[in-house]
Amino acid sequence: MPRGIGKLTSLQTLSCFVVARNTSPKSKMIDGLDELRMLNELRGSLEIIVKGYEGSCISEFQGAKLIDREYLQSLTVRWDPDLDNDLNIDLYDKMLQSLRLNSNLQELIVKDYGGMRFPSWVSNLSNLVRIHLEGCRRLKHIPPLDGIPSLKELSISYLDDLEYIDL
Amino acid sequence: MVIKAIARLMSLKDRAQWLPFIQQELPNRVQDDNIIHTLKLSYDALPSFLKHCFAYCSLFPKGHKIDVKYLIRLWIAQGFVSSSNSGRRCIEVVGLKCFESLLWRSFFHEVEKDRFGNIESCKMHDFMHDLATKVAGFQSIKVERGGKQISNNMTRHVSFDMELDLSQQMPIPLPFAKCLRTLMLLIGEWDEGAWVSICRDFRRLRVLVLSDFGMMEVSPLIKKLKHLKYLDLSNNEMETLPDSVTNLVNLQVLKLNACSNLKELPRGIAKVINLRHLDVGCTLDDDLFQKLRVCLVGLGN
Repeated sequence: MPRGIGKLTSLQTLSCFVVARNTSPKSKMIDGLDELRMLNELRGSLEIIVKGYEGSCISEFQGAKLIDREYLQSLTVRWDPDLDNDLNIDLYDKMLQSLRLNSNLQELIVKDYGGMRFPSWVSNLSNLVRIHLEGCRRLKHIPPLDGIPSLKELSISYLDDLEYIDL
Repeated sequence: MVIKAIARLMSLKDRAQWLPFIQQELPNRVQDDNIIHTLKLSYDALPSFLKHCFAYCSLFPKGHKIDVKYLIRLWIAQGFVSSSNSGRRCIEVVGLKCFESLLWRSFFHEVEKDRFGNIESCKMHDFMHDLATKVAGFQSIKVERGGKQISNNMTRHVSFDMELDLSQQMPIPLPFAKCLRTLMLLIGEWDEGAWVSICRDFRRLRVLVLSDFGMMEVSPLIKKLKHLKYLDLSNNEMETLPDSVTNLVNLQVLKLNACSNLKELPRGIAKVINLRHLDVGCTLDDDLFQKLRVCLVGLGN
């Protein structure tokens, strides 16, 4: 996203945030996901699209402080499928792990996540109504969901490696 | 609907007022057999800010499915809803209360909710739309083919529910154009020349809706509309926005949904400090993901 979006502290609606990689000099103008840390008014739905990443992403994801975004109802995180390769599995794991979410969240959608583990924080999102996982092709298991009494819908598709779901 | 509207109106009155209402006010309105007159009883009892909110809806076409979130943002942009007496509640919440109050009195119907239970859309019954048009008078005018023309300097809000040929002169004479607070062009063929006349003549606009025109470019002249609070350019073809958009420091809403060619946002977007809703609508269907990827690379780069 263009530099400075994090200064728009009145923002309530930000339909999507694109995370890109710092590869060119021009990209000094780009901001990481930690720009979201000051956007305390965000509400409704947010979609995070990862179109490029590197090691610093992990601290930026953590810095986004989504755990404080109490009005967000729906979060989608999707990765560009073209980025996926076997060398980055660990990075995927750490990226999603560092994205801590507020327990008021009602809907979580994760697409084309290339990690093997799904973060255990999902078990604490006690107000989730809907979880949708798609194209997370290395995911082997989904953490226990029995602590989410409001969950009505769990949809999974193209999870080729899924072995079991903890219940 | 009429019975419900009148019943709700009565429930807001003291019981002591019921008898005079039933014996005098109501029969006076019912006797001439015009349903609009009866419904107007309910309108007349509204506080003035809700009257403005309701009358503004006459700008939408009849039977239109109104996006309630955006309706509230339009009211806010026009200053009908204010946060002055709302304590610390955010103004959108105050706007929602206004909507719910009008809904309860039957001014809207056919409400649809999203999967989280938020009110998403509503409609207006044709009779209510007629009432809105009547009470709006010259203030808000929806121009239709062969219908009313803009010829009164009391007019503040205009929508065009007809195909416009924008290569011709804008069909609003200058003295009236400069008084307008709202301009909604709902269908038509875009012509780049229209930017010149809009940005030159409509200096007091708070709301500008130019949706679904196949527009290829947004003119840098747009910075002249410095009072603009609500800009809807959704469903157009432009690849970028001019940097001068960032001079619109009063802008609260920037709606860019379904602008599938859009590659980037202006660099200085942080200058638009009053922005509350930036809707670039990325939630496209998966079969459109290929296109999405192309269109969003620029947002990051």
